[in-house]
Amino acid sequence: MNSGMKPPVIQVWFFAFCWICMMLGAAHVAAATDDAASYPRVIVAEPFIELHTGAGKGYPVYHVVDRHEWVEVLVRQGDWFKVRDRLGKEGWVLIDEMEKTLSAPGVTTQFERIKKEHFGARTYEGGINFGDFEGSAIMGVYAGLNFNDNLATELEISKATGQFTETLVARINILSNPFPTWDSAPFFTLGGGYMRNKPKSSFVFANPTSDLFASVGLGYRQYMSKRVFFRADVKQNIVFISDNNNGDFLEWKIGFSFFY
Amino acid sequence: MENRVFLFLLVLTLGFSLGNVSAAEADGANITEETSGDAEAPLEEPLITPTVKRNKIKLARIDTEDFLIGIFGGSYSIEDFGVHPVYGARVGLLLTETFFIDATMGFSKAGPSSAEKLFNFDLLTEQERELVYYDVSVGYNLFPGEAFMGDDTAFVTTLYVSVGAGSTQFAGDDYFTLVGGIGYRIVLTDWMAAQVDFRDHIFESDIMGDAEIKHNIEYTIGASWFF
Repeated sequence: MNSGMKPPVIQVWFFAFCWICMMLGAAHVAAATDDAASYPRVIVAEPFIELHTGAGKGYPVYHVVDRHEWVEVLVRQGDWFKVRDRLGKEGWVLIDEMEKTLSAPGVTTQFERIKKEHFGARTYEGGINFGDFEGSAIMGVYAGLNFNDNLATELEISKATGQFTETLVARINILSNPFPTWDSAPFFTLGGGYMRNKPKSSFVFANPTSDLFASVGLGYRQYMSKRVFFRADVKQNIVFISDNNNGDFLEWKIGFSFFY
Repeated sequence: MENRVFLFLLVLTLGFSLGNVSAAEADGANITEETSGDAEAPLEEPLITPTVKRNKIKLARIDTEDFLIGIFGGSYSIEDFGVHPVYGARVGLLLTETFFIDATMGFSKAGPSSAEKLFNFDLLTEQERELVYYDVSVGYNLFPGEAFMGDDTAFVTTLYVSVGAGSTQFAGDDYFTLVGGIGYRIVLTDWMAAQVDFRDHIFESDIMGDAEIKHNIEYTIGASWFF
C-alpha cells in the first residue's frame, strides 16, 4: 500500500552527499596525478631523516635518507609528511625532522604549526556539545565568528530529548571574552532564539508549541592542543510562553570545539 | 711626371685635411652642445636600462589531508524488530595521530516485531519504521600496525575504539543515543581506506510499553577517502 511512497527528504540529501563525495574523490585523484611534477623539494641537512611506514610514531622506520640528498614532499597528514626520495622510496617523516631540512641553500624549511598563540587570535570556531536541559539530554552544534579578541557571535542548534517532549532550540549568542590570551578562561553569553516543543508520539492529543526565548550564561573554555579546545556552558533560558507566563529552563553543556 | 705626382699628393693632403676639419667641426659642435647641456641640468635618463624580469618565487603548497569522507553498509539490529540492512556515510577529522572525530549518519528500516507477527497487528506505520541515526564520536587509534599480503605487499592498519553520542529517530520519536564501538581500518592507497566497524547504539525507549534501555548493534563495512 505504501510501495509508491517517495523516499524521505533526508535520504535524498544523503544520496546527493554520496554523489558529491564521488565527484570530489574523482577530482582529487585527477588533481593528484596532474600535480605529479610540482611537489616541493627539501634537502636533508641532518645526518639522516627517518622514513616510517605510516603516519604515526608506532609505525617502524624502514628507510633513511642521508644528508645532502633531496626528498619530494607529497602530502601532509597532521604532523606527518609523506616524502619520496631520489630512488622513489616513499615514507612518512615527523615534522620535527622535516623542520631541520633546507628548502633552499641556507634556508631552513618551515611548516605551519598551530600553537596556543593562534587560539587567542582565532576567527572561526565550531563545535558540538552535550548536556542537560531541565532533565532532558541535549545535544547541539554551533558555529561562531570572532569579531575581535573580546567579542564573538555564534549560531547554535540543539535538540533536547526528554521523557515527554522533544525540543529543538535555535539560538544566536553574543559572547564576551574578557581574557582572550589565557588558555583557560571564563566567558559570558547573552542570546535569544526560538524553541519548538514536540510532545512524544505516545501523547496522541498533545500539540507542538513554539516560543521565543532569551538566555544569559556563563562559560569556561580550555585550550587543549592543535585546533581543539574544550568548552563548558551553563545558561538560564527565559521562555516567553504567553503574555503573563514565562518559563525558566536551566541548561548546561560541555563539548569540544575547533577553531580556524 | 713629377708634377702629376706632386699634384696627386697635394689633392690627397687637401682631401684629408678637409675631412678632418669637418669632423672636428662636427665633434666640436657636439661637445659644445653636451657641455652646455651639462652645465644647465643633470642627465634625465639612466645610462643603463636592464631588461631582465625578476622571477616571482611561489612557495609550493603542500596538500594537507586531515579529513576523511566515507560510506558504509551492513547490518543493523533494531531491538525487538529484527536485523535489517543499514547504509550510511561518515565524515572524519584527524586530530592527532592517535585521536580522530567522526560524524556519522545511517539509515535503516524495521520490519514487523515478533509481537506484531504473532498477534497480526501493526504497532508502527511504514513511515515510523524508517530509522535514521546520527552521532558524533571520538576515536582512539588503539593498535596501529601493518597487514601483510603475500611476499611484498604491506598495508598500514589501525584498530580503533570510539565513543560518542547522538540521536536515533525511530517510531516517530528522537532518542538521545550513546554510541560505543570498535573498528579496524586498513589504508589501501594514499587516498583511500577500507574499514570494518562494530557499534552499539544505546538509548532508552518505551515503544514496547515500559521504558527500557535498548541496544541496537550494527556491523558495517565501508570505504573512506582522504581529503
